[in-house]
Amino acid sequence: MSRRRFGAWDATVLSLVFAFLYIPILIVVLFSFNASRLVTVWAGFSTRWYAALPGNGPLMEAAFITLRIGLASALAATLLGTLAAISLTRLGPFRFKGLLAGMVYAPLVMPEIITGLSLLLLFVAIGLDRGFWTIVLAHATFSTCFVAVVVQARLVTLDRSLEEAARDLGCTAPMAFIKVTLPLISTSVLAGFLLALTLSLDDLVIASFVSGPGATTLPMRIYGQARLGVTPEINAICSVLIGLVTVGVIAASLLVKRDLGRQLRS
Amino acid sequence: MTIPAATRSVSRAGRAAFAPWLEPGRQPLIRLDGVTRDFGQVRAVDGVTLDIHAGEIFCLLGPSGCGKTTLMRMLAGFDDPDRGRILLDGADLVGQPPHLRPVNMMFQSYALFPHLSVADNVAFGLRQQRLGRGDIADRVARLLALVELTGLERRKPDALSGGQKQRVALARALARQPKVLLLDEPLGALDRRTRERTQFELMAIQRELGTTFLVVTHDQDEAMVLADRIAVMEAGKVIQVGPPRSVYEEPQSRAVASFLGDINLIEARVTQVAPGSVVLACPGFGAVEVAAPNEPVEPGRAVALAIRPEKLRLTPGEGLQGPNRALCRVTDIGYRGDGTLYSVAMEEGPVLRVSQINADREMSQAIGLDDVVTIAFSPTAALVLTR
Repeated sequence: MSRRRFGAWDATVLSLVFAFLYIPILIVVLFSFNASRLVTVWAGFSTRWYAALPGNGPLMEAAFITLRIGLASALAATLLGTLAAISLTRLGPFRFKGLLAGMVYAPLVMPEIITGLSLLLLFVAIGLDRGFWTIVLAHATFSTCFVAVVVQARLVTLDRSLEEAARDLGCTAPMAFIKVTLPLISTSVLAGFLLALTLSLDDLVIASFVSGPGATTLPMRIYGQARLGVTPEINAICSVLIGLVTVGVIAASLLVKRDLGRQLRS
Repeated sequence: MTIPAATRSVSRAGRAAFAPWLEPGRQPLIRLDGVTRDFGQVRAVDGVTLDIHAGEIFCLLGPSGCGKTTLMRMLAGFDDPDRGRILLDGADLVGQPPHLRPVNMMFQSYALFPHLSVADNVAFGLRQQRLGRGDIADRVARLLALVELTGLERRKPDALSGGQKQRVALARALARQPKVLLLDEPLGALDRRTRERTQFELMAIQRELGTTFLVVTHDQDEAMVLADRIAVMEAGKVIQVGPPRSVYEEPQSRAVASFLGDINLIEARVTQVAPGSVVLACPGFGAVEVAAPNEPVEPGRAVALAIRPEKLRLTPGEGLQGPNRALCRVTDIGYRGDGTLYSVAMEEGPVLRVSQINADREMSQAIGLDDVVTIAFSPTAALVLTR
């Protein structure tokens, strides 16, 4: 099979797609370096808005809360998602396995607004005070499935006889998991963690539903300010957020790819 | 590895004195007693009873799905029988988890731990035994010397050839000095040249250590060369056990005869019974005289005349007429270099396969397609099968 040449038509289509996807983001990043206070008028390159960020108390506080929520929820999601992946691939057939498999993936396609609303109703019903921990719980809930997908993909391709070999050589089943399986899926677990962290950092909808006084995340703060008018400072903090998310996603995909490459070679 | 030169290339069959299964009253190392395992509706292993003696290389041979792998996994502890006992040195293993059994396994995929170096792979089992650091290093060095991998300690499995991976897997499985080493298709993943060399190396290592080997394979050549005894399995049952020579030359059933090597089976009928021999009425041959089967037969009994392609003699043209001879026409010629496989059709009777060694360079040209040939065999070349 010969590879088709990359012609002018392909170049046009590809550029249009990329332009459609990324020009709005590029504009935000571009104007974050604008010297003028006016968002729409270019007045030369400057990093003053980045320099001003640390001085903006409410924004920094929101950023710090977001980071803590991200770390806590990503940790929980990684633990739960990995366990779900293990039970789906390693425990053999058990009752309700099909149900679990379906339910783990449901949040992938569930509209965020429904996840947010239903969690809000739940927290109200059980009388949980809304704030930091309710956001952590909510984020862990929807990012667990992403971790499960990534880790399960790795476990499925892992030779079952590796664990058996470990048990044959004197390990109990849990020890075999820790000594052999865990090191081999660790990059996927890490990739899942990064994905969960990234998802938590930029979530606005669900956090808006389940947050309470004193727990305003960065996306919520940005959204609130943007309604009063977009300032260059917002462009700057958004650019930082875009940078973080990009790094997180790229790192996660590189980890998964590296794992896959190693598998293909062996 | 230091092996006395004299024993290096001697196959198992050459070790005439070693036959513990013939000694009455000798306790076997492993005794399988009515072992049965069902997977849903399928009976994977069906009442297998076997004795395996210390120091043997014992092969479970059969087509895929015959239950040989399930049987091996039950010995390793990854599965347990539904009925029956698995005794090792007289103690029942059933229910014991794999990590407590004095048995180790070399996996078909080798199952080397990709995140560990060669040395760490071999040391894995020893670390579980909580041996001292120095002891472990000593043992690993000796094992790697045994499989001739000294110098590759720090390599990762990814960076090894197929043959080297196989040796690491062997060293790792031998590290805990198991009473029985289970080998699942040990040569299956190797190319033909490496495979032949590895066969002999496996045998040399086994002789040096004296460990009992239980080999599972679907490859009859592998089983023939390696084994002291072979158990032929079919549909969950062991259908014949014996040394390679006896399962090949004295198969007790059509199934064993046709699974091991190539064989012509001709349906025939017993006409006369004499001491030491029987006469059969055989399509194509007429009257045929054959050595008597182990089991007494009476005239009129339907039997199969079994004769392997290499035991039929082929001569061009119409030779002498007489018993155990027939005139045929060549219908197919398969030239294989070292030998030639002919298909010959009798005037009335089945098509037979005859193989000849091309002992002379001119020989393969002497017989052409559609030529008339005479085939013949001696009374001890053929076999009467009643089952």
